[in-house]
Formats: sequence, C-alpha cells, structure tokens
Amino acid sequence: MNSAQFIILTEVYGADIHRWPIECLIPAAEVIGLNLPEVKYALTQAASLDALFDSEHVSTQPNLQADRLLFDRIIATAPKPKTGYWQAWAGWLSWYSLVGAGLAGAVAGAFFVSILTSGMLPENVDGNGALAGVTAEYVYDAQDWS
Amino acid sequence: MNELDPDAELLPRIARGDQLAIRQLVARKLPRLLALGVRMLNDRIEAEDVAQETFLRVWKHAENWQSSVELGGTKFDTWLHKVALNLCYDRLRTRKDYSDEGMPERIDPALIPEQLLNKSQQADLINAALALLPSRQREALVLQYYQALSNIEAANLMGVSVEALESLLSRARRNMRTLLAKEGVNKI
Repeated sequence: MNSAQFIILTEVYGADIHRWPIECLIPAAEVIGLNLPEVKYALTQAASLDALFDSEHVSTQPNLQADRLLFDRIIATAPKPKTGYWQAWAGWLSWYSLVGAGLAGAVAGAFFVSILTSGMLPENVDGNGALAGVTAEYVYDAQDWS
Repeated sequence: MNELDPDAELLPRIARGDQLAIRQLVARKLPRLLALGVRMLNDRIEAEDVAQETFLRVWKHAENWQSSVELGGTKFDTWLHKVALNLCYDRLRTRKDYSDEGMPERIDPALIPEQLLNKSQQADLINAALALLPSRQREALVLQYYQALSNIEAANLMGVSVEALESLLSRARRNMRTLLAKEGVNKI
C-alpha cells in the first residue's frame, strides 16, 4: 500500500484502521509507521469527522424506561411455550378426570339423598289414604256356574 | 454453539417458545436494530415500530431457519439487518420528501442552535445531516460505520459490490463534511 492508496481508504473508512477491511490492517499500519505528513494530515481530517459521527451516539443512548416497554411489547408477541404430546395428554386427562369426578360425586350425592329421604316419606304419598289396608282379594267363583 | 453464526442456536429454541432464548435474542439485537432504525428514519417512534415488526418476522421464520453460513450463505444477523432495512425503506418511500438522488444544499436552519454547540445539539445536527444524505449513502454509512458491519457484509446487504459500497461511503463522508462545515460545525 502506498500513501495515495492509504489516503483514499481514510476517505472511505475513516481514521480508525480497525474499521478497515481486515486485509488492509497490516499494510496500513506500515504506512502509518512511515510518519509521512500527507498521511498524518489525512488521518487528522478523517479522525475529526469520525469524532463528530461518534458524538451522534448521544441521541441514540438507550432510554431505559422506553426501551423496557418496547422490550416487553416485543416479548409479548413471541411464540408461547409449546407443550409436548404427553404433557398435552396429561392436561386433557386431568381435565376429564375433574369433570368425571364431579359427575360421579353428583350422582352419588343424589343417590344417597334419595335413600336418606325415602324413610321420611308419608305412608301414602299418592293421596289414596281411603284405600289404606285394602288388599286384593282373590274370589274363586267357579261354583256359581252350577 | 455455532461459532460462525452464534445466533443460530437460539432459533430452534425460540420456535419451541423457550422464553429464555427469546429474551436473550431480543436483549442482544434490540439496541442495534433500534439504532439502525433511528439513523435510517430519524424518528424514534418509527424506529421502534420497525424493530417490533422485525421481531415479528423472526418469530415467523424461527421454526424454519436453517443457517447456511457454513455454505457461504446468510448469517442470522445479516438477514435481520436486511429485514429491518427493507422495513425502513418501506416507510421512507411513503414520505413526501423521500428522494434517492441529489442532496439539499443545507440543513434546516431550525435545527441549528445559535449558541456554541453542546454535545447533544451537535448530535442533533449530525442526525439532521445524516437524514439529508441520499438514502443509499446513508445506508452505506450506517451499516459500515455505526452498525460496524464488515465491508463485505454491508455490500451484501445492499446488493452491491464492495467497490460500489466504497464509492458510496466516500461520497457519504464527503457530503457529511460539506453539510456540517456549512453549518459551522468545528473540527472538520
């Protein structure tokens, strides 16, 4: 690399040779080592512009509160954890178990209530009290045929 | 971990909804995406929208992401920049004053402080000058200087040769120098 090529690269990439293409790093360092006045001037010019560019970082400094809100908004849109087959099956099973247990409890409850309350019923719950004690009587009346 | 593409190992985990991986990726990429958006659009709110939309694309593609960097393909970070840049351009194109060519003579006087520039005011002026650059020059400068991408990565993203990128960079720096000198910014 000669000094003219070096100066062109300062106009493209700035004064910091670590921002230059990696293959230019060693040749650029060698040119700087020569202490040529035109190279020094080009570096000073490029460095002043770089310093101005770097001052722009001020306006993009993170605003912690706003960034936190944005961070949370973005996280809220992210995929939710996926459950595996067995986890999903276990989930369904527990749901059906709960429903099944609830129904079984209701049936059992109804059964026991019916048993308990059957002994408290009045004798003639159908309202036919007048027929109390009346039983069916078989009358053999074949003899009347004679 | 994939040394060539350190983000790639997070993507299958993200697709499964691994919250730790999601948080890691957002924490790692959000500041750079936000800075890219602010510099390209000169508008913080729009930059936030672009960052959010970019992550929506990430969630969508995470399941099918296949890093092909070993085969000379795209790194996740490069792809992410490409998505964000496209979203920035979508927004820039809707602006009335959008132009890819030419450059205004001066920065809006309303943006120039009368007193000696303090650091914050100087930053505003740099932002204003950056916003005035033709968009391809601005893109080149933002990618190479601020996003610290290599010249090859930046050229790939922009779909140009390294020589064309260097030409854009050279013109961008020259234009920035001219714009800032006109406004009496010291040290250039």
